[in-house]
Amino acid sequence: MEWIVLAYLIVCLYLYCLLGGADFGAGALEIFFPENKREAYRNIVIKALGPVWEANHIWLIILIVILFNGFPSAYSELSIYFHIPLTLMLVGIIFRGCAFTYRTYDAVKDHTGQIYSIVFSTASILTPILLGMIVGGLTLGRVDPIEMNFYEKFVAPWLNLFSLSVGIFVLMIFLFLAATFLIGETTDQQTIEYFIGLVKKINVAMVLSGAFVFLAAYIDGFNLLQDFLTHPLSLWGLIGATLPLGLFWTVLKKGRPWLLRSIVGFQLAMILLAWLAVMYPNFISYNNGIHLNIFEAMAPEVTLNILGWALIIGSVLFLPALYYLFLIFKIR
Amino acid sequence: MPDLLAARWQMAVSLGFHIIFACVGMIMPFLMIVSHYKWLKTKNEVYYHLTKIWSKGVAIFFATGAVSGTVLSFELGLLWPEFMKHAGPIFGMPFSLEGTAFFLEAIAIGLFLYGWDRMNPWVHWASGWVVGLSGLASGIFVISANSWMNTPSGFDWVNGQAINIDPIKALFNDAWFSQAHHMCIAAVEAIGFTVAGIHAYGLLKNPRNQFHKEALRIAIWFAVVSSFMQFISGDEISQHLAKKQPLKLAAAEALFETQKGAPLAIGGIVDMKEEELKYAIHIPKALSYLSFRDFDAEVKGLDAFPKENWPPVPITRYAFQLMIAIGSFLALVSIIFLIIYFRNKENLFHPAFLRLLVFSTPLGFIAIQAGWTVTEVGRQPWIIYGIMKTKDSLTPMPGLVVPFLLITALYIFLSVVVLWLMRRQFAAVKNKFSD
Repeated sequence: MEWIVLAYLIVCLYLYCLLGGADFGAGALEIFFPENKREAYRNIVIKALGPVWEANHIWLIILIVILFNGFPSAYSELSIYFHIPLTLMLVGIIFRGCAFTYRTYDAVKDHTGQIYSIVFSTASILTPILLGMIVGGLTLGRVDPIEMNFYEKFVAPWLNLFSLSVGIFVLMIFLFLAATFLIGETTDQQTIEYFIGLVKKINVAMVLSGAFVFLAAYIDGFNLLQDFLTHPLSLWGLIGATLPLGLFWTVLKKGRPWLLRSIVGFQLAMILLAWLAVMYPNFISYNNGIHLNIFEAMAPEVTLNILGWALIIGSVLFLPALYYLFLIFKIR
Repeated sequence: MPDLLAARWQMAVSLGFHIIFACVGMIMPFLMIVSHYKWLKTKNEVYYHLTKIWSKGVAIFFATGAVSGTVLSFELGLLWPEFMKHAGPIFGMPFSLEGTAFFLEAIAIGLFLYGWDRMNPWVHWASGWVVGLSGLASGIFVISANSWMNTPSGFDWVNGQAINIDPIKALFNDAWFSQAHHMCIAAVEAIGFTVAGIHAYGLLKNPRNQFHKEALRIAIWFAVVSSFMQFISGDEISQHLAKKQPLKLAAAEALFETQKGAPLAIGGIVDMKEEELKYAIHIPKALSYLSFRDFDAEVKGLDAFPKENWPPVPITRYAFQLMIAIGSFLALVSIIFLIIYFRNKENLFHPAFLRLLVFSTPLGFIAIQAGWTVTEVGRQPWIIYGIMKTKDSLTPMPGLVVPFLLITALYIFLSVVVLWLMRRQFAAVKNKFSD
């Protein structure tokens, strides 16, 4: 059963990045929209996100519940050492959700619309960066439990070049997902052309920022690239993420939004796979060479059993409902 | 500000903020089900607009509730990681069930808000039911986590560790039933009176506005019925407290001395130095009767417990009295409503009664905050009652006053924005539906 729970944990992370990430990306994209088309493109984003954003962000909550229920010491260690970026990420989540909803449901449409949009975009940009910095901090392994200095203990592990590079890379991924998804949210040919152009630029930036992650790791004193190349799953993940780009750019000209979505969805899965393979089985790495192994952090068997069943039964309940939601708003 | 106090205040502010929005998400869907049904049956446009305009408010409150709920799920670990390390494996079930219910609710609200022209009208109406029922369910489930902290079960505590964990026993902990019905009814009462009050205000400004009339007609029944049920609920929960958390009850009642035939004290000032409640009105033997249905039963006072484990008595006492005072007042308002309704229906929209409703607008929510203060402060110094103290579960990160101020400032800011949004909502309605 622990494998099932672990699988759910990973799937929730994946779905949060895919769906919630696309949400963040769409908000972040708004700053790139040209002045004359801003209103029109914003409306596309509102229409696309409106019915689904609440459901999309629940994956994060389910992820956290699985973590504190199934892997309690992982949750508590994460909460202690990454207190600051987590808090900042939450502030971003609050501002993003509220700004988006208030913009749509404010009874009066006036200049405050501008303020909502600025807040929404800014939060949509900063939150993925913070999420990436936390991921970077976990990967870097510079957490020091016996450190006395506040900065070294609670700031340095996540505020460094490498973590920042991961933050930017995560933002690029989310922008890439969003721009790709948006292609399918409109039927106007000119707009589609615009989004295709956006996708191309972001794709290049994304690949470059991905390369920079490896460079930053090297500068910060560890050879992440070698780790990726020597773990077979990571290597496959890297290949799986990069190869489809050729197919992607070809299909891009033709439209076919659902094929494009499937390709980027696959690429995201490959990136996650690569990262997880390099991390496995560790959740947090400490300065002194000790790791918090995800299996050591596990709750007792009885808890995992019940959690596993709860997740399975819950899936039976809400997956059809989620499918219905997407059916009504994305497929019909 | 000492770190423990900052953490407790941050948690209190976060919970206090979230619960207002959670109540809206739990109960408003049911008011909307009524107006929506009336629209589908009578085709009277007022009901259509009422449903749509209530939806706008609900969407705003729902989103704010969702994000503040996300914050809470992280704050449990950010502030109390030692607690979560031990409690996580035990009380995960209420949270996973709440998560599932909330997931369904989020999906259903997407369907409801955006599906007006995309679904069969009755299927669309049904999605409103799913929003309400799953919202209610998620509230009931998450309360099991809190009630577990009050009446912990489903584990043995040996040498500072939990063993023999039984998550099902933990889910069905002793206080769950009482806390759940008390909170659900409180949510109905608060929403009922707040919505009634807002529309009463609208009617005072615009006496012939059909929209506000119909809105008031729906909301008031939720308010009235729940205000009476809450007394039955409150009675049940205090009998439960008397058996399972006598120290909390003693603090709430400011009963310093264990005694048989204990009187019920109304009002009064807590004097911690002299350890007595001064200037209260005493109803002889009433507390014994209310607690144990026996006029001569022995009710434990604070003196039956070691002083270092006493919760802050004054806060617990005053919050308790405030909650009951409001509950009594609202029941009185309900009685007045019923008299008007059965005697002379035309007076329903009489300015005097409308002003009474307007006055009552925030009271339900103030009572909710007061009630939660009783149960949370009354549980101190424990975070898991009798097992783990709050101070032992605190995060080692210093400087907690910073996140506390940050989150508090953010929530104050959001409260102002939401109130401002509601004002704009209200103003937009103003001239639309007068006949």
